[in-house]
Amino acid sequence: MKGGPLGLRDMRVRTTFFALFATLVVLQPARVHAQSAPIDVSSASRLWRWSPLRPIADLGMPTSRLAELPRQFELAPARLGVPRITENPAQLPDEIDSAFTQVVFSTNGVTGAYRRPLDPVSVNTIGTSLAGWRRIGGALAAIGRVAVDRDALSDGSYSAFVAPYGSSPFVPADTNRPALGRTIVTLEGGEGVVLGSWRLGIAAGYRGQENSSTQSSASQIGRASSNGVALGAVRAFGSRARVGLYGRRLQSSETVNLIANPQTVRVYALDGYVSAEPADFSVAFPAFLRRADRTATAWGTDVAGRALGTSWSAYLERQSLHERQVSTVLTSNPPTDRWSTSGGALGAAVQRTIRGLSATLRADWRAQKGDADRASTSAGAFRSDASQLALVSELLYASSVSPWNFAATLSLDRDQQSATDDAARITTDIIAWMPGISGEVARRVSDHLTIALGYGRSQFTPSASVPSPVNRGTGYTLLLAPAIEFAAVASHTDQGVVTARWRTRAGFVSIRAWASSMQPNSRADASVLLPTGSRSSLGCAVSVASAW
Amino acid sequence: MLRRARCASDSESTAFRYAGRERRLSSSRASSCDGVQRRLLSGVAFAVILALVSTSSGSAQSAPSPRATVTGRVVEAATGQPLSGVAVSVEGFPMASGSDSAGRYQLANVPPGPQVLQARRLGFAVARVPLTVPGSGTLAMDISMAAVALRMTEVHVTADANSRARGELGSASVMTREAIANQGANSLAGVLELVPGVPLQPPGLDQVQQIAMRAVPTSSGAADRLAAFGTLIILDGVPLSNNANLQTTGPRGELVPATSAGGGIDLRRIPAAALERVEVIRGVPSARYGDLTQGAIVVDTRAGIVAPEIVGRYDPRTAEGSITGGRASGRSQTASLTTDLARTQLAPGIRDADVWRASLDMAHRLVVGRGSIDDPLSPGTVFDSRASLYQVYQMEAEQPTVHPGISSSDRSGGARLTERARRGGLADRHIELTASIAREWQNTAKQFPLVRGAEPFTDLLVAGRNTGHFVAGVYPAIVHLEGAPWHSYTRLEGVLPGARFGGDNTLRSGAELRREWNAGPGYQFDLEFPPQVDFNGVNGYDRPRRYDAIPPVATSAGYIDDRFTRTLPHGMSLDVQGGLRAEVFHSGTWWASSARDMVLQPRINVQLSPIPSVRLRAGWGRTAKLPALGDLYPAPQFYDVINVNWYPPNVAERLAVLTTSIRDPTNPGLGFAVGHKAEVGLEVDVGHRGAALSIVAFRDGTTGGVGYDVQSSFLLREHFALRDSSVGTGRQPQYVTPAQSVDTVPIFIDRPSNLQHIVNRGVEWTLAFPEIPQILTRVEVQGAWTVSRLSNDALAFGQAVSDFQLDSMRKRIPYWSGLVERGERALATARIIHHQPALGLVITGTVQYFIRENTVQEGAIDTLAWAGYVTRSGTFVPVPIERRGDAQFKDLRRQRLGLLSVPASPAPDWILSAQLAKAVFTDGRLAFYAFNTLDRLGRPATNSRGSRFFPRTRFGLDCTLPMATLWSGR
Repeated sequence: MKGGPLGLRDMRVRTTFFALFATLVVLQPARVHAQSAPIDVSSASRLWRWSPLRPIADLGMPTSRLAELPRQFELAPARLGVPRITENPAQLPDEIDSAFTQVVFSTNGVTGAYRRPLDPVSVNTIGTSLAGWRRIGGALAAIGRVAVDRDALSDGSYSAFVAPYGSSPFVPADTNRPALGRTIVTLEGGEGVVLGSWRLGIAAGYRGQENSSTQSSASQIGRASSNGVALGAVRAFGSRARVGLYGRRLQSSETVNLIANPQTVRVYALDGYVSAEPADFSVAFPAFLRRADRTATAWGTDVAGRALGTSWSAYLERQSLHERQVSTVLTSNPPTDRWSTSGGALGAAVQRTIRGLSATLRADWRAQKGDADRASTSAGAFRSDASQLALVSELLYASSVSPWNFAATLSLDRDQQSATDDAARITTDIIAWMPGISGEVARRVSDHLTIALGYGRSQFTPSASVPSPVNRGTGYTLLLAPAIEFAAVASHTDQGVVTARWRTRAGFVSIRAWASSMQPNSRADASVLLPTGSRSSLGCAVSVASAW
Repeated sequence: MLRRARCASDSESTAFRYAGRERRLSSSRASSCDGVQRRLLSGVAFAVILALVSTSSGSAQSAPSPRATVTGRVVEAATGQPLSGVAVSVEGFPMASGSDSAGRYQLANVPPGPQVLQARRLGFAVARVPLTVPGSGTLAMDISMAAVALRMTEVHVTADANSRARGELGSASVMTREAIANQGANSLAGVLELVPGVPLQPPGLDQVQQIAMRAVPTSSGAADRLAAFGTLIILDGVPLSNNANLQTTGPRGELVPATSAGGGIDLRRIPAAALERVEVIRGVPSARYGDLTQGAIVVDTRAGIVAPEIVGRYDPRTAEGSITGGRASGRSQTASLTTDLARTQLAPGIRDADVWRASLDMAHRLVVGRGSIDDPLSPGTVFDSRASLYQVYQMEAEQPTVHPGISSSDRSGGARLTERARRGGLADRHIELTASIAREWQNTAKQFPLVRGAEPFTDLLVAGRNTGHFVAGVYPAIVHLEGAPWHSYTRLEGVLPGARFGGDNTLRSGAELRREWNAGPGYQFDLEFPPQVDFNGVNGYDRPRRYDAIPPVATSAGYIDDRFTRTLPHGMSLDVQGGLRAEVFHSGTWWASSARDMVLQPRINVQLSPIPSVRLRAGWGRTAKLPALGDLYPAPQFYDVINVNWYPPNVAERLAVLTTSIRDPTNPGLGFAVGHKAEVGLEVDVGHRGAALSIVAFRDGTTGGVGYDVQSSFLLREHFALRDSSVGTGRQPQYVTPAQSVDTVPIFIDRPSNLQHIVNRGVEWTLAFPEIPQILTRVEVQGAWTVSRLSNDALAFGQAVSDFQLDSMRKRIPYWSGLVERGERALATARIIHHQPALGLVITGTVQYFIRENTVQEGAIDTLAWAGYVTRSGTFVPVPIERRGDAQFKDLRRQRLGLLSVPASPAPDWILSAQLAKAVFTDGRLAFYAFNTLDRLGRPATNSRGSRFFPRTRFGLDCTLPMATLWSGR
């Protein structure tokens, strides 16, 4: 074969890398909305960048997270340049030149005391997914994924909302803490078509979540759904550059019912940094209901091309989010809490590959400003500014001659959030630096079997100005202060991954297991409300992949 | 000698092979010559065994036989491009292959002789290629497939010739197997959402599912119950009946179980996975169909040669799995089996309640003579045997720590055996005998804590005076309803096609016999914990009664029906179907008894096509529906009049004396409800990529629907003096006879009568836009505007009835008449279907828009709206309106209460549901669905309008796995 997209000359290497890339992509689904601590192994979400369901302008408080594992096996199909960076579906025809289908069965468990108050004590997940992409004729490319996950949240979940640590200051908390069962179905797909020098693309997705307490005398019943659609257009200028415009709209809703059944339900409706007063709902009073509707939009422009043997891409995006929350849906004009953010994002990446050695540099920056409009007219304002910078460099080596392959990633993230609550007279300002390093070594044991070992470590180092929790009230002490301390204290994460891949005549069978942990660098001081202990996750996945 | 030769010839043709292995001719020949009786006897066993092993590759086969290989390419007809992932199979045999990326396929071990290749792939029309397979070697056969967008999920709604139910000319909606599979429903009710005007409902088995054709709900729900009762369901040629369902506590019930009694059958019992074809005759059905007032739904379950498949569905509330398969045995027999198991959680997180549904359907066809298993009308005799079992079990167990004393269960199951024998002659003449016997078992229990003050109560089961006891405090009231309805049905029908009067005639005539009864133990409760206790009780009480004491109901019917089709000059054509049906309700328990009621039912449908693409249609007909068994033989009403109510603090000293009277509310004049159906319509079939338009205006009226009239009467109440009634003695006093005084107690008897009248009118429309080939998208819009107006002749007494009975100082109370309920709904449903044949992908978006909804009870509520008064002796005295203002009626002038005079008219709103189906495993299917995708809540009530709340979002997956394809290597 002469000249792949990156100049690879060995078809076998290309195929190998391609399949393992896909393994990484799909084995670690983009569960960015999972209700669990950031220990969840979901860093591969960046590889599913085109997803119309990715959150928009929803940066929360800084938090420690796992180092990004190297993309050792994604080298060959690295015409992911643009989808990896931007979300323009019109770029798909230029990025997809093959067919691939994969079925994955996975399980993951997260547990440990080092968690924020609204995180569940433990989450066990089993899931299955079907994903794939393919070229259709000469002009059309399509990509899609459907996944079903079943979460079992142990007794001890405080949050009534699925994702309590987004940007919104309005979160209902259920202190009855029933164990929950939750089903999550995700469906997303995109198509891009070539029309001469133009490309048009559309992507759409749906995620539905339904959870209910099990065997509990205090019922929590919730559901959430997200619908996203993205449209894009790209103009190609020869084979060297492409310029695109795109827009995305993400609409989601979430409804939670807390019902005394017959045990009284105690609810803290968190409102910024105000120490929320508990409200009790017994069988004699109506159940607590909370409905949130969120609409987010993003639009931007992206460019991509190839020059001097180097692939490059960049994007610039404008983002906004509007949230509306009510507790009474039976009236036409209920008291409404509103939360809005607006901001922007930009990023760029370059990649060059020479004889199986690939180097990638990537930079992403996002920033947003948020402002709340509280239902209570007497309350003051709540504002927050947040930003996130991610710098990632990757070096990957894949050879058709040597049985050894390796990859390394060096990353540096900077998260920042400052928030002011006039009603509570509290201001927080947290800046966290998070360097990370990871590596993976793979050896082809036989013609069919390849085994890879990987390890990553990140260090979360915040610089924070946070208020003292003294005399702040029960609600603040119980539900807010530990989360702020969690973001303001240095910690580190470790993760290890083992992958075994068996090549068959029709495709690949992969088994991947991982373990990770997160813990603070120092033991908690008695004067602060920092959670103690550590938090860890353990999981594995089996996948079957084929290039059809 | 001739007979022997015939047998030999038949056996030659009935040699059959499975998966390339052949059963030897000798065994087949032997069984073929053993005669018809032996075939019949072995048929059922064969059906079961064959179905059970239908997915295996055959058994007990001997030496291999010559066989061939068929190979070729599958290409897209329009472009000639190869198609991959196409399931290629041989009809009637389990072998299958999938085409590769070059479109190539190969089928090995194909039996020689004439066969039909079938190629299937989502997004393409099914290709059927006849070929003659040689005894050995390789036969090349290429297949072309045409891409098609699913036409309105295969629902043909009157816009073309296929939109009629078979043998019918009235407007209909027809759902094929493809449409049913694409709909992804759990039961027949979900499939019927494809009919214009039917609101979308979330999938699942949450509650009793009934269909009310061409009727919309009114304030009390009575209109749609009546319409559901008058909608006929015909399953595999045999009408289902809910007439003998007595699982209700009736108008006096305090613990009311949620069952289908009094309405149409519970559609949850019919899984969608078992359905092959559904024909919904919305217009005037032919005279062949009786016991209906609204419409008929003709359901065919899967039978014959069915490629084996497993279907699984999962959403957070509902899980379902089904297995289907059927195969041929030679050229004379087919057998199939469908089994389904489903479970829906009810209100998970709050209640530990579930609904389970299990069903098993077996079908067997035996052809004797020269008939074909594919053509039941071919010459020869065809025996179709069906056996089906189902059970729907809804259960909420008591949660002692959470909801003590509350539990319920409803187990409804049944078994049905059906035999249809058709003897065909030349030119499609045939005679058919259908016989069916169905037995159901129904067990309903409900327990609920009742709160009572000190209420005197007697458990006397016969008329007379008795010493009672006091019921007080909180106690668990329990009712048990145990029924065993039986339903036998026999029909003999002859069909005589021919050419007469310059056109084609199909004359059809037949006779029906039906008999229904209930053999269950009946309505039972523990007298220690009665579910009905009240002080006196103006409407009386129910006591335990046995259902098997109720006599069977026998009906018979005869009908004649003719369909005439003729081509007229100038390209016009005329199609007329007319008939007459006579339905008799017998006075005895058998058909030899005299007629208690009879209704003649003329029906006619006319269709004129001035040009081939335009059809003008009209239909009119009379229909009739038999009352339910529970209405024909209502429960006796017990009245416990309190003679002594001595209630000192000491329990031992208390004394209650009650006199029990029994009134039989049976109405010997109760007869058929009679319907009149009329419709006119216009259909335009442009014929270009499926573009079509259909508009039907209808008016369905039913008079004499059964409701409960109130018959007033009175009882004499004796008052006894007490002896030794000093408090503190520790003994009960004695009452002294004869009575010290006597007064009257008014009572009302709930008497079933033909007093309900409903008129449904409206317009149904379907508009199919042509497919847009550039984006492979098709849009169809359908909808209906329906107004239901329900009136009844019953009287109402407001809320002062109990006071009137207890307070002997009140000499009269007013009554009202003329309640009218009105419901209106305009609903439009748009389906947008996008497909990607190359991906095997079909995306369906369904938007349902509620244009207008309105419910109101019409009737005056002012202080002069009453119609008269009733005295303590039960006499109705009407008062003209001009006299109601007189001073003497001052005590009667009160506002009528309980009337929803403010119309509920929620604002227009819409919901969206979406579905994505992807071909997997060559011939399989993986579908994702999301009902109310955007989780829209609806609109809260405002000052002038009612509220509308949509069911919450429901999402899940649906997967179909073709076992034959999987097992054959693809």
